Amino acid sequence: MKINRGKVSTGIAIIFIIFILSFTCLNTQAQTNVSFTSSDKFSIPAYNGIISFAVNGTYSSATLENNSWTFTNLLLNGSQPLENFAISTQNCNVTIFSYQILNNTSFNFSTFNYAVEGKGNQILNLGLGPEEGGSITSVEWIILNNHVFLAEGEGWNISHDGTMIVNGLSGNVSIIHFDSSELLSVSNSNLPFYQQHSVAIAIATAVTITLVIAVVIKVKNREQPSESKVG
Amino acid sequence: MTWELPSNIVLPVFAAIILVGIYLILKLAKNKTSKVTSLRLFIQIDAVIAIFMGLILGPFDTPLFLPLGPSPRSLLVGSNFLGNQFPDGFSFPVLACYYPNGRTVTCPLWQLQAYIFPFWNYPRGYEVFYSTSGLEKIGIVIGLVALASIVLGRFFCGWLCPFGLYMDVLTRIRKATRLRHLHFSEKTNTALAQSRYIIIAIFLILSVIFASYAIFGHQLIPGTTPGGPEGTEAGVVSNLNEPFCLVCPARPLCILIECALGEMHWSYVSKIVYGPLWITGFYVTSINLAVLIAVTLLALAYRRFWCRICPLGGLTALFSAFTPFKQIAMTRLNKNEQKCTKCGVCKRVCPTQATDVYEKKGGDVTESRCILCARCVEACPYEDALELKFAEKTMMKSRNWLEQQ
Repeated sequence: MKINRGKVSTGIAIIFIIFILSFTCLNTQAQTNVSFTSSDKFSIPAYNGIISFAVNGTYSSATLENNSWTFTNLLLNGSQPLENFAISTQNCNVTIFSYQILNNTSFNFSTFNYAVEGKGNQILNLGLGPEEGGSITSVEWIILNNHVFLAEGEGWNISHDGTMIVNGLSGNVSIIHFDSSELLSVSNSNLPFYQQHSVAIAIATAVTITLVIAVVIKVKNREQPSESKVG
Repeated sequence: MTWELPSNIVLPVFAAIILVGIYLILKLAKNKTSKVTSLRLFIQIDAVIAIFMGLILGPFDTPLFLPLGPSPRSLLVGSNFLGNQFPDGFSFPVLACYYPNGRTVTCPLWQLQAYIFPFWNYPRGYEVFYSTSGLEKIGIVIGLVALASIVLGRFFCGWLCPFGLYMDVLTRIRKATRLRHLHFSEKTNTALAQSRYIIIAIFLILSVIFASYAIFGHQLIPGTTPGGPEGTEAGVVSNLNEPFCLVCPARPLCILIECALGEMHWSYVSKIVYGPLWITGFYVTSINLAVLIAVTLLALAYRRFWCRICPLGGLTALFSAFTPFKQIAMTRLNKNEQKCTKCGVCKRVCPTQATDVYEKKGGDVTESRCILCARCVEACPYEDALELKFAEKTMMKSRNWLEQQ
């Protein structure tokens, strides 16, 4: 049996190239997206805290700096991505469940859900930007602890750079971010006059028609008795 | 703890109510006048359900925003129109609070205050096609109230208002205990009726004072810049943007219903959000509760006590019981002078102690205190002496029940 050395060497070369390319691709993927599972732990030894995720997911990078884990492009299965997310936990363990954005209404809501084991502190930054000041508040933060609404000051506070400090809560915690800035920036000045004032025009028309009908009924009713008297 | 209505029983409940309603109306249609009170109670209950469930088809178990609860407007029937054009709901002259969910209709008093401040020049509230100015928004609310008042007048108070139903329930409780109701003197009752307009004026003036920054560009009272950070002075004072709502007795009851339906989480209401002691929660203030208790006690003694001083009733009456609107109001109470024997039954049974029905000789006897409940039509023992008319068509008339017995 003759062996075609040329074909063999070509085949080996192709396999080698594919191997190298796939390795490179895998390597590239590993650099952009690191997978993790629900069994992975991200510990903060100095603070005696452990962070884990309830579901599998990916991130681009995860670094521990100043006793705080910073994740970039964190994506939990079944959730929306968090571009820049930082979390630190002290004397408690945190299990992160999900991050959901609900933007199908006039306002944008996003909810970040996690559970706390033990009574400690968490410092979180969801990377949603600083709290907006100015003449009207368009951003609100709310926390639910075991489905109970907690006002600011009742176990949590938020700083102006959007960092949330949660103290002493255990069980399920939901951070809700409520943003109406998009709605507030809506401008209809480019619309035609009748569209800008469509509701006012519709109501004015309805009031006018009602007035006319009411007056006609009134006049008609006044005429009827006088006609019958004449008759 | 919150009780939530399971989504799978919402439609059957609606269907059952409609079927019972059709049956009752057919049954009572032959002699409506003798069953006015029962018919009215049925319509009042239906109205409460429609107002607070907001024509929502469900489901009730898809939370959008947990603190505010499920059932957003997108689940409303006709949400394209109601949701997009009227996100705050139609101005409907009944005491039914504006709340985040399930609102198809909204108390015009809330809207008037809210559109003065803080929604004066912001596209909050009515959206996109309705965001030009505070004055336009207020004009639309007034227009809708005028429209409703010309068509039905204070029929809203007598037949549709949830707080009116509460007043009637209190009357029934008093009757069950066999206690007699008390009467105000004519002078006091007239003064109470006049006080409605003073209440409206006070709260609208307060709204303008608190809204001075939004309207005039400078604060008449320091710290009234809208939307200051929560917990700060500005945040606290901005909570005063609806001053009447902070004392309205209907508010705690509205919240109770919303929580019972699962449309709002009780903890969101009960928690102290802002600092002052007189604010017990985000929506309910201790003043709300105190006024509700006072009104409840007074309503046990005096029939429809709140309706005598209700500023919303006064606003509705303004567009239906005073000239020039009185001339064209479509729902009215008519009296036939020749059939009336001045027996005084109408005056005695009137829950708001309206006197024109007795004292006026004949013709249109609707007055600003009359809530068009038709109790007088039901009780009048003389055939055709009293008629409840809509667009000059007789809807109900008194009958000779003395001879029928």
